[in-house]
Amino acid sequence: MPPITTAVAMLDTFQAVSYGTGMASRPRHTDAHVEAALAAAEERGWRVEKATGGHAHVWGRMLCPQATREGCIAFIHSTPRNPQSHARNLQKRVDGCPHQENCEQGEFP
Amino acid sequence: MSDKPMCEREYDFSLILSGVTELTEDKAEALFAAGCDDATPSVIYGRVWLEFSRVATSYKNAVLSAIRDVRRANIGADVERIDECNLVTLSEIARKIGKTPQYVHQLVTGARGPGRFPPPECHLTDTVLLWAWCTVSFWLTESNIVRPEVVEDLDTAYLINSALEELRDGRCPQPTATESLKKELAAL
Repeated sequence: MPPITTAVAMLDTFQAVSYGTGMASRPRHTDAHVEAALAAAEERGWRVEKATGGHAHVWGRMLCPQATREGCIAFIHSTPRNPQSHARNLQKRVDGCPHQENCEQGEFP
Repeated sequence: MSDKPMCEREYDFSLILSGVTELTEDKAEALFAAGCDDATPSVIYGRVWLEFSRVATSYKNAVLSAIRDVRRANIGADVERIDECNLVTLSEIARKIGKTPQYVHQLVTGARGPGRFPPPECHLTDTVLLWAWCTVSFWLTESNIVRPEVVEDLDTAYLINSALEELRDGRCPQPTATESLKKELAAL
């Protein structure tokens, strides 16, 4: 058994590989519009996580680059009523994220 | 041939929830299952938003049915308001009526239009003023600057928000302080 510190380091390396490269080995969303929105979000530093609970409607969630409790989270539907609208609204959340690095100071009230 | 009436169309609006500060997969699932499968739930700084794109016969029907669906989800959440603030900047007024900020500035100064544009309500920052949308909207339509249908949905949003606020009055965070201030003000 490796010491705990080594194990944690290994875990960190694994996460860097699966999330850090932007081409994570996550499952693809079956709808092309939604999948395109997820890929666009990942390009801007968002992390996409597949749901684990075996839900009928929730496909997963995406988390903004602010990886703390204060960060933005948006939920992804597996079969949204209108996939194009869902994709557009996911995109809207990415565009409106207040944690983006390039957020202009003037945007703050 | 579609069996939908021709007058239905998709309305985009965002609802702000109260009663929940985070969304779990289970809560999101309950919202989707209760009919909010045309909404995109999100959380920002402990506030839950539902971005709807809902097909309905009117803006009012779209919003009211969405509020019903949120309540049906039974996750301890209710709708606080539609994400349309009644206090707006000059640029926001311009965006809402599809004009440039320069155009609206001319209406404010009286260089364009009939004059007597409603006065601002307060400052947002030292240099940015806020106007009450309900007052501005009334002036814009009365002065024939915009057609009523341009601002109809936004006016409905204001009315629904006012109604939601009135229904909420019972749970003011400082009811005693507010009541005593009301008495002081009335006695001046």
